[in-house]
Amino acid sequence: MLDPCRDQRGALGAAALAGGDPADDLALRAHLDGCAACRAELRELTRVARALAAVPLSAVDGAPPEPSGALGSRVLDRLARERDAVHSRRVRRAFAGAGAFAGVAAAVIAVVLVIGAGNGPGGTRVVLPGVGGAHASATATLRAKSAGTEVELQATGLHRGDYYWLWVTDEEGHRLGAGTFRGSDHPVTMHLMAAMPLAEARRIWVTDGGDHVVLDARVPRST
Amino acid sequence: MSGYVVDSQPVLATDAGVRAVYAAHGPELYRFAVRSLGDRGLAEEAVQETFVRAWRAADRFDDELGSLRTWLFAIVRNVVIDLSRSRAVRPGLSVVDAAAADGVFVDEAFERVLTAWQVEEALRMLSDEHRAALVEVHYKGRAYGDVAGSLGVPVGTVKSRVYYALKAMRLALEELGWSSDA
Repeated sequence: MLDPCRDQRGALGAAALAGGDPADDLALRAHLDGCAACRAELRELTRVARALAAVPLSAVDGAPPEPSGALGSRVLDRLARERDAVHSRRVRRAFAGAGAFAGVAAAVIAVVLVIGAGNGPGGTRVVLPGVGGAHASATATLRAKSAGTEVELQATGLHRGDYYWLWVTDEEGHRLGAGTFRGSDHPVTMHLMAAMPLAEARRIWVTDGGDHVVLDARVPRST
Repeated sequence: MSGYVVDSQPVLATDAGVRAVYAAHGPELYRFAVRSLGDRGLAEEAVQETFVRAWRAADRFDDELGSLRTWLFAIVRNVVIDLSRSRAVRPGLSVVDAAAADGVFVDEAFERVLTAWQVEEALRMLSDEHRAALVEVHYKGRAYGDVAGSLGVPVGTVKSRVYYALKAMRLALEELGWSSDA
């Protein structure tokens, strides 16, 4: 089947490189006179051809500059340091605002802060500060079980009656649900279970019904 | 805001997400930074800083408003300007220095660098056959007949390759955020 547009494609490319002028190609000129689609295409291809002038031949012929093989690792390291710094600031803010935890209780929390999230015979203790200005906070004690990781979560400042989801995530970003619970503005303690070995857990976090993260913390490597 | 998320997490929230974004865009961000700064060490620093700023602002990214690549290039552009102004970049090599020397605005200088980078990247995305046809005819100014003779193909084939090369270039340039109105 005859396709006059297809027959003119080679000439169209040549005309675009020539600045959009079909010059003495009478067949192309005749076709363009009656084909709006090809006229529009010639305009587009001519713009592309003009853009080619932005690059000299030397840049086209030479090998492109490539980053060193270590740059990807450096990016990951920088982000890890950044996350740690932000996490530390959040933890400090969370506890600075917890005026209710005065006296002996504050001293105990301060010890946890100084030590940071850590491993102990009673499990791996993690502080989960609120995210995005949330007033909620929690502490989680993670214990290795044959079925996965048991999480003893003590949370406060959540919206009473709202549904929340607890998640754990491994190093590759794969997450597993550890269960759901309903919030309370009073401190509540619950036991939840995730089918992920504690040794693989790197993050523990809580989302609300809108799938927004409200509590978040990194899990230190278990010993 | 829908956000750019993987498994309901911002894409840079996990190491796996960072690796994926770096694999997809790290080298091109680096090439843009090298072209802008004229210094490979500073360019690597620019890429690291770009990822840090992107991570900090991840909750403000909306993939319904633009691609991740466009967003990252908006960030690296600012990083390059900051690095150029705050560090002793080799004189005359950074885009900011060049802009000052030419008496043009930094934005205009960046547009030039950006367009040149986009064209370079788009040329690299072409098939070998299409790129060769375009390079021989356009950049080296060889006649279609000469190129056809060298390649051992009909003249019509060379013309056809040039046409499809330009078509592919247009798609690649659009993907790279090139504005044909520019």
